[in-house]
Amino acid sequence: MDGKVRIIGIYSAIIGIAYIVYGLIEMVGWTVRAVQFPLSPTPDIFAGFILLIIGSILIYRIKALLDMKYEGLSFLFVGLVLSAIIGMMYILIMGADALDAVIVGEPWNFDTAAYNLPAIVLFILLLPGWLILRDREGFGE
Amino acid sequence: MEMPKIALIGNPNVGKTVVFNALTGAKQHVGNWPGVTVERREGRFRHRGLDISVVDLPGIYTLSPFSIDEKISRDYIVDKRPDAVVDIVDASNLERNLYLTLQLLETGANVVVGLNMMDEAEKKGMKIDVERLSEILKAPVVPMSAIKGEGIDALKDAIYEEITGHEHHRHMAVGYGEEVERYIVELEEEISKCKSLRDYRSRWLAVGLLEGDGDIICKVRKAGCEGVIERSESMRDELSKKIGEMMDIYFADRRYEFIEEMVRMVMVRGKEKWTFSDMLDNVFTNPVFGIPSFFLLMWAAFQFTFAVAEPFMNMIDIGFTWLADVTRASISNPALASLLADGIISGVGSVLIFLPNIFLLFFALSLLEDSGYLSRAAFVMDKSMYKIGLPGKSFVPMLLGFGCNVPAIMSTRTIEDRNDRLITILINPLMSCSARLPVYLLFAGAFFAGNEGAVVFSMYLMGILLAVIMALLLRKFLVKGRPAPLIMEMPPYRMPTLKNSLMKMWENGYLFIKKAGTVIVFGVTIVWFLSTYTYSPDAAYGIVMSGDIENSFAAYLGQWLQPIFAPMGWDWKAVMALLFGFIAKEIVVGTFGTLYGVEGGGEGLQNALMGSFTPVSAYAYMAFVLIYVPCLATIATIKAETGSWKWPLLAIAYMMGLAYLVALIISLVGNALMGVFG
Repeated sequence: MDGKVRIIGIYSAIIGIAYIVYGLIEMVGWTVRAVQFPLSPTPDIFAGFILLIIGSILIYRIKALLDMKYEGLSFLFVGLVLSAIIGMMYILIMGADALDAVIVGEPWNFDTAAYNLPAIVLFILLLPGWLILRDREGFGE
Repeated sequence: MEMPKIALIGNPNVGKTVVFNALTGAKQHVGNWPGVTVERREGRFRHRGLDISVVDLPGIYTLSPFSIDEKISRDYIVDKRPDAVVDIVDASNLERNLYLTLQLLETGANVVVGLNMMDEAEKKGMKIDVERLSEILKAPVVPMSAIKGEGIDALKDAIYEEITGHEHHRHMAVGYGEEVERYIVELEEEISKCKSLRDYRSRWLAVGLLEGDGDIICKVRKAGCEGVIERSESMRDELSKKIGEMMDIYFADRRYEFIEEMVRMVMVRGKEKWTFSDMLDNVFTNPVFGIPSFFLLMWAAFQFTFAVAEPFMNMIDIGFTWLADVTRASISNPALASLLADGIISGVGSVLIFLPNIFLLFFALSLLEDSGYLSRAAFVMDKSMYKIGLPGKSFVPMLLGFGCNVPAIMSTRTIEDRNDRLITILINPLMSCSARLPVYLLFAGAFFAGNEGAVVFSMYLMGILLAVIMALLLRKFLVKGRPAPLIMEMPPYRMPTLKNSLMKMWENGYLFIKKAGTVIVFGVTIVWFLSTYTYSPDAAYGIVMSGDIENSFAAYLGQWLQPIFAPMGWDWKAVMALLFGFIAKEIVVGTFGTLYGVEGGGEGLQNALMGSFTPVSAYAYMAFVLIYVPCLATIATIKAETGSWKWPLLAIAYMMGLAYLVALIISLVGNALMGVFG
């Protein structure tokens, strides 16, 4: 097994688990809002479900990835793509809110609930996963 | 001399529209999924001093037409006889694409092959000997990658040569075996005796008749050559007995054998490895993750649309408020000032404020479309759609309905089965078009602050759910039968280009602006008149400015209709907005803007609405707007596409009934829940 693939594979699986945990917290938080967690997850059932999907995709074929199979690589790749789409979407929303504050002349506050901070943090933490795609020579069926 | 005419033809999703745009400089809609071109479109270009007219035809797989768009393409080629036929071929999928090429060559058309997507083929490790392919086909072959603009000039040169006759055409022919060839020659002789068939190539007719091609038999019959048909039928029976298989299958098999041999001679394949497209497909078409991934991407598109538009909406709001103030201050005539500031500026402003949302929604959808993802979405949804009695091909029109129901209904022409098509047309207006988005945004912002994205998304989900229910009911009671199975090509994933996405965003946004400048101005002017004036027997013409909206014509009319909607708790202004929404759904918001006299819309209008609605009655109102009657343009399109008034009237009737029922249920259940949970 390629050492780089093993490290990135295990790392992305850990991030995948974090996605699932935060997804579940956000889904539960939609109904039970009293509990506090780090990174202030958004109490939004849809947003939580989205994180759950990304996390599930990241860990679904982890064994195949560690066995250097394209099947496993494909799930990591799609997990990376979806993580980037959602992460960048929240960053864009943050930027739009900041611009809006300038337009209406009000101070801008970092609203962790609106920007789904866990989605942004996990997207950034997952960025090293893209390194696996630079060299796919060792992968097979 | 008449301007030379060329036709662009090819399989679906091979880039014909990109080539058309590159040749003519047009800005036709380009999509990375099959079925973008459903009607033929025309343009022109000039090359080496020669003006050339171009017709972009819908994509077809064969010249044996099964659906309306396939028939459009074939009829054009064989009946209009363009000076050259440019066959766009996907280089990364030669085997399938060359079938149409062979059939085109058999018609005797002057074919120029545009070997598109050479870059995709190279990525897959394929190497194609273009010169050898040209020699075998006896037709010019131009390698190109149209999306990158590569090969367009060479294609223009080849077209020019073909039209001006510098390049002499030699017709290639697929050999169908000694025995069959003898029959073809014999039948050709019969055909040549029939003068009215001289416009067609005799070999093409002979092969078509021996295949039993219904369309060709019709042409020969229309030409009054019954003898040829009789002879061909007896020949077909004889041959079929001798060969031991159906003749149409025999001819198709020989063509595929020819193609296989030809591809073996011109193409070298590299080592098989998974491309990024293969990897994406493995997950996006996965039975477990296919539908959740689709849900994720659609949710992201709506979230993006709602949240990122905010600053731009505020800019428009500020602009219209300023414009209304300036107008009011600078015009001394009170009636004119009121018409412009309270009527047109308030009404149009309250609709145009949602322009950024419309732009962003179309931008997001065009990214999904251009990437090639939507074909996968159709594939993963096919199984579920089949269960509810809809063919997988309905998915594309349904998704287009999120933009506008008019082109969506027109795009159902790609569905071969009449019953499948009819159901898709009838449920399409339940797909929430962009005209309804301003209503959702207005109410969601006012009554569901913090959850606007989820509430708007729920409206789209409700539309889909109701469409599913209606499809089931229609299939069970009205349009019986089983839907046709889906056969759809998966185009390769491509990185969407910013230019293409911005162009589509502008095209759709422009339509919205155009509507605001025409239909909506007209609508809000009428609303302004009705809300500003009242009847007075003492006044000239019996009409006078009311001074109080509660005594206006609009109030009288609204109050007369309001009891129908009393169970939902809507006042007469809400009813008036619905009434004007019959013309176009955008007018609903414009009417509110005018009736409440709020410039620009936005927060001012939202605050005004909070005095008239509760969250429950607002949600019921949003649902009613989603469902009740299609706009006039959609009704006209249903009539045009079904050829009868019966179906648009049915659509209006069921949607009105359904809208009332759903809104009533939301009101009753919502109010009951509010009573329990406070």
